[in-house]
Amino acid sequence: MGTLAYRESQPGKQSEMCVLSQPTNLARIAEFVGSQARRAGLDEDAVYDIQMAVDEACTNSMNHAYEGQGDGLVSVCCYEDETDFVVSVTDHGRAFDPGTVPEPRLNAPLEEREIGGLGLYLMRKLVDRIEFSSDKMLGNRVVMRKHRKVRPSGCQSPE
Amino acid sequence: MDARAPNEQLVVPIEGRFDAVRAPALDDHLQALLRAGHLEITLDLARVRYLGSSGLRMLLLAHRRQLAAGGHLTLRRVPPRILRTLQMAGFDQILTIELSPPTDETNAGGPWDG
Repeated sequence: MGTLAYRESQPGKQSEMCVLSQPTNLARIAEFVGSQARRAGLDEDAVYDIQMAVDEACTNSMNHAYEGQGDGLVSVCCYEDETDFVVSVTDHGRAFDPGTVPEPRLNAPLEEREIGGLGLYLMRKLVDRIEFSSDKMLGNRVVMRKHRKVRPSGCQSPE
Repeated sequence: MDARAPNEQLVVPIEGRFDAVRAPALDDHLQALLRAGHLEITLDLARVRYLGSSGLRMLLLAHRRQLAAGGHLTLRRVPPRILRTLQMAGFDQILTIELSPPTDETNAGGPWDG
């Protein structure tokens, strides 16, 4: 089962994709985020970064919030404001507190490296700003922002 | 079971997305190769488009397994963005990443695309 809902409105407004919590939907989400990010003017490196951050957030929703069950909903919402391309990922699974996840020890030798915590760590590094919230009504939400180069309307940025 | 020289390199090309969907199947594949006696395994990442934390975890576990068996896991032809991900996670300090340019050698194993 693929995309349940896809809503795209005018440039500068919000676009949303809603899928079932199945990892086979991750590629579809990446494609959606990529096209929205490019339309917002992000360069290819920035597009890759935000795609990865969203991939990690969605994987967390699927594996942890929904504990691997494939019948939950994951909603990915994209929009632009004056300075940033913004993506929020929302689920309605088990409440998640990022403060409970230890940071990976990047300099530990092979035998001591732990398996967990990498996804969250990468998310924080890949975007310019990230905010987590968890609420019984609104679910778990992570909002990620990537700065975009502001350019005069109708022109490409020279970089 | 074929008799293999312990230091014979088996090259496994990987293609596409290396994410939560595909990492488990690749893990099974590498375990099967190890059981078949392949101690020295090289993953060719030239055609990997994306590597996420699921893939990173799998690489860590596979590397530990090879080492525990007296073997080794090497990565080669790592695309720049994938290398950046590995560096961000500190995996360039743990995994062996071959930086030499690609050669025309024939791969001993078939392509794996999950």
